[in-house]
Amino acid sequence: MFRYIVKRLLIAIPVLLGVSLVAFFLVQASGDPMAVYYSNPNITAEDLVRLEKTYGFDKPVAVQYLYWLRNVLRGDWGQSFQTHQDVLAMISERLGNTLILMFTSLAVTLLISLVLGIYTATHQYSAGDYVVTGLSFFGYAMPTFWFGLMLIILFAVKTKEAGLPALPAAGMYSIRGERTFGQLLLHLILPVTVLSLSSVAKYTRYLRSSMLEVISQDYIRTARAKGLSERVVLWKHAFRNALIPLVTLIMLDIPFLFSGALITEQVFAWPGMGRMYWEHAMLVDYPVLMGIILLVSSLVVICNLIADVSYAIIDPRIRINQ
Amino acid sequence: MSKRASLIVAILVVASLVLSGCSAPEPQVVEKEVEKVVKETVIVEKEVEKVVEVEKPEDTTPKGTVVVGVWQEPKGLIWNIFYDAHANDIIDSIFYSPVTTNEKDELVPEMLEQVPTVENGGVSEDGKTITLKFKPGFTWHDGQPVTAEDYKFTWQFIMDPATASQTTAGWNMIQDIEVVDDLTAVVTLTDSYVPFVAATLVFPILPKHCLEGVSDPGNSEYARAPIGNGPFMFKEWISGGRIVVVANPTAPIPPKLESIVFQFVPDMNTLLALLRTGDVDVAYDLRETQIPELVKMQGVDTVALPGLNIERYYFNLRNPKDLSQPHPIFNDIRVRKAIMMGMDRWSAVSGILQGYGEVAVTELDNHPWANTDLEPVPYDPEAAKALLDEAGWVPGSDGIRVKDGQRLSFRHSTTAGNQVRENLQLLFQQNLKDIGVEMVIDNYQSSTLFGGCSSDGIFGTGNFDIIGFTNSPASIDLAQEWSDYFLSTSIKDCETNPAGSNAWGYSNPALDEKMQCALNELDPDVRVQCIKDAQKIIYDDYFVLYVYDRLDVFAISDRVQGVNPTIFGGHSYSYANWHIVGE
Repeated sequence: MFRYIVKRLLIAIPVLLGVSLVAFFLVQASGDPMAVYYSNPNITAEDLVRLEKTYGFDKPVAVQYLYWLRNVLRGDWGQSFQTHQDVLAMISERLGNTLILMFTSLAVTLLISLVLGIYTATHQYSAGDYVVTGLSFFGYAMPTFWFGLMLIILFAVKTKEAGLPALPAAGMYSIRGERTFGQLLLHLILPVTVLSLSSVAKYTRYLRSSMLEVISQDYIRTARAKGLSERVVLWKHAFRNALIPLVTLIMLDIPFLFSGALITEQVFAWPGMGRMYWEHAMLVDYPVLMGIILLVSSLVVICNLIADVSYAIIDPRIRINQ
Repeated sequence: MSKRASLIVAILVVASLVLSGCSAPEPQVVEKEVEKVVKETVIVEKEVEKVVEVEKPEDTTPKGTVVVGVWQEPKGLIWNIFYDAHANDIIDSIFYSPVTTNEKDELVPEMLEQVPTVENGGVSEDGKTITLKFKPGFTWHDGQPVTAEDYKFTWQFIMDPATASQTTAGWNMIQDIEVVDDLTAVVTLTDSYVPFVAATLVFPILPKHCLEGVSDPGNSEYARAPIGNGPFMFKEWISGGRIVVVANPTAPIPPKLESIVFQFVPDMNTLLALLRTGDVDVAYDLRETQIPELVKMQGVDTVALPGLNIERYYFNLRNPKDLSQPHPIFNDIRVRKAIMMGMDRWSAVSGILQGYGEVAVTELDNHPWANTDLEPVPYDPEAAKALLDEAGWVPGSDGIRVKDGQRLSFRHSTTAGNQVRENLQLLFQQNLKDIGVEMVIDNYQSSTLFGGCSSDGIFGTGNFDIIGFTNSPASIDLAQEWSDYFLSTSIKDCETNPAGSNAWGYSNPALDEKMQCALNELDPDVRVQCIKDAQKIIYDDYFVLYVYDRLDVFAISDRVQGVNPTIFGGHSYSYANWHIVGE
């Protein structure tokens, strides 16, 4: 097992190098980081030449990549061309906010999906199954920006205009009040609803089919034949086995929790990573973009590895072939 | 720690802060102690105020908080390094500037005794020497006085390449600054440059004792927590969240508000929702298309000013495939004029913009120096057809005109994803088809559209037929930026002049002369006439179509008074005057 993990980590090095190379050239091809200055009338021609030189934009892209790579290998992730801040400092300012939002959504999603997934699997083709399936596809198909805005109008604007208790529409804490934990919880409600509703469908459907598959296995029939109660059969035998594929699914989703949810963060003015990525992508601020890409791609590699390893731990039938 | 002990610590810290200036940033824990003390003093002051109230009915204690919804977060708070309009709007609350604009958009002194002119002796007869006399009583928020040395330092700071200043416009004309005494500085320019006052003195002075010797100031603590000298003091900046400023008790022009919160709300629809719920009091830089929703809001005033932002289309006068050659179609002024006359801008404004905008005429619409003798290029498809016939373009088999085997077809490029722009393109495309002209829409993301030479940008390499975007003069007086688009010396060429802004290759000696007069003429009347003449020359050459004047849209809650937005000053010139009513 140890050798396997080391081997996988070593393979990750060329993978990450490849990702960074492709990403760097794609980001560069997406536009000119100097463009924002050209359209600013107060920046003189001499200023433009000087800035281009300061930031190294006058060098070929390949040279810029090598400079960037050299610095990253030394532990220097570079500075944003826009904010002049260190990229790592910028990420650390935002990462916590994003994780609060994303992990809360994941927790809520899992909780709902587990209940609905098991219900629909054990009540296959019942009216309830159809209703849950229908609703979950509805949530899945809903455009986030529209749904977010509708929730804001309904639960923040209309309720307030009607004199009812209203939910906050934007930000992490009350705009005029104190930054308290209670405020944070209130501000989480709407964005978490939007994020959860769109992913509940995926997890519910997954768990449902996984449960159905397990329930039709011979050992479940055996368990029932032994005279075990339906509760024990479902929870002790079926559910635990049905969870195995779900663990992989969650592990593969985790890296993207770190990159945040662009549209939801935008609509609810949540100060997270997705918004930061978007703002800097528009300006071709490549040190920031590369920093986030590198973080997420490293997590993809690591979480894949964890998924594979945990598979072996959860399911004793699986042995990792060295 | 007991309260008393913490007070002593705080006092010691304050003392050490004063001694060390800004050079030694203190650990955060200590700063909190200082805050506590400040809060306690405020409480005491309030109690005193209540007692005084009996004798003095006027209560001048700053009161209340106003929330400004900002959809674009600034990148930093040192104005010359992070130069953009949204940063400057916030910086204006933390810094005074030597001169500013008033509610009538006139230049008025703020830190200076007077706005220097030739008449009042502030500017020498040859225009090269400018004497600045500062009013006494201005201090930095850490207690240090503001002096002429700070002004001189600001110039050195901006010009130092290590600062990585985004702009040096105007400041690069300074040859030397002599500090005569604490309140007097004499500026020597390399050449007469009339826009100097409006181009440089409207920007803040930076504190020498905080920024001198700081390496990489853009990445310094100061860049995100500046010590200013203005009506409000910087309090906090939460990345992606908000910037908060609080009243400066020692300000020479005391503010009426206790604090202003600049809340970052990147989504326009969410911003409108927050205006409706009263979470946000003031929003600006809103879109014309939002006006109908804004005017329906109760308790919110909508102010829409015809602004200086003008959407324009430049015709490339050079062949995009070979810039040394003239453009195969647009070389003929009759074709350019016909295309302009073939576009129905009146329908565009009344339909697409729902009437919120005006058909534009010149570069300086709504500016006091606009040439009002000029009329908008009319929409006249018949005259346009006649012009094209006259120029030898005859309708071909598909209805598109042809001349010498060349079809009358061109690409029209603007920023992709902007719905108003795209709707305008569709309308004009149809209009032009009616007169036998094919307009192919060829849009790019803005970082590609405005990209320079090294990245093969559309603007940089002149690879367009018509390029459309919005621009406005950067200061109340016209500085370099206006002329850069038109001067023959600014013609962009990736080999010889990669930083030029005249990407359309326009060259007219008569205009060059008028532009030179606009920069150097000391007689104000003659100068304004030159600027008006320049507009006429550009108009008569039919190579840039000013499509429509955009509106500057502000939304202001009823509870906030004293904002009075103006065309130049926007909402940010009047922060000290903002106050809350009815609470």
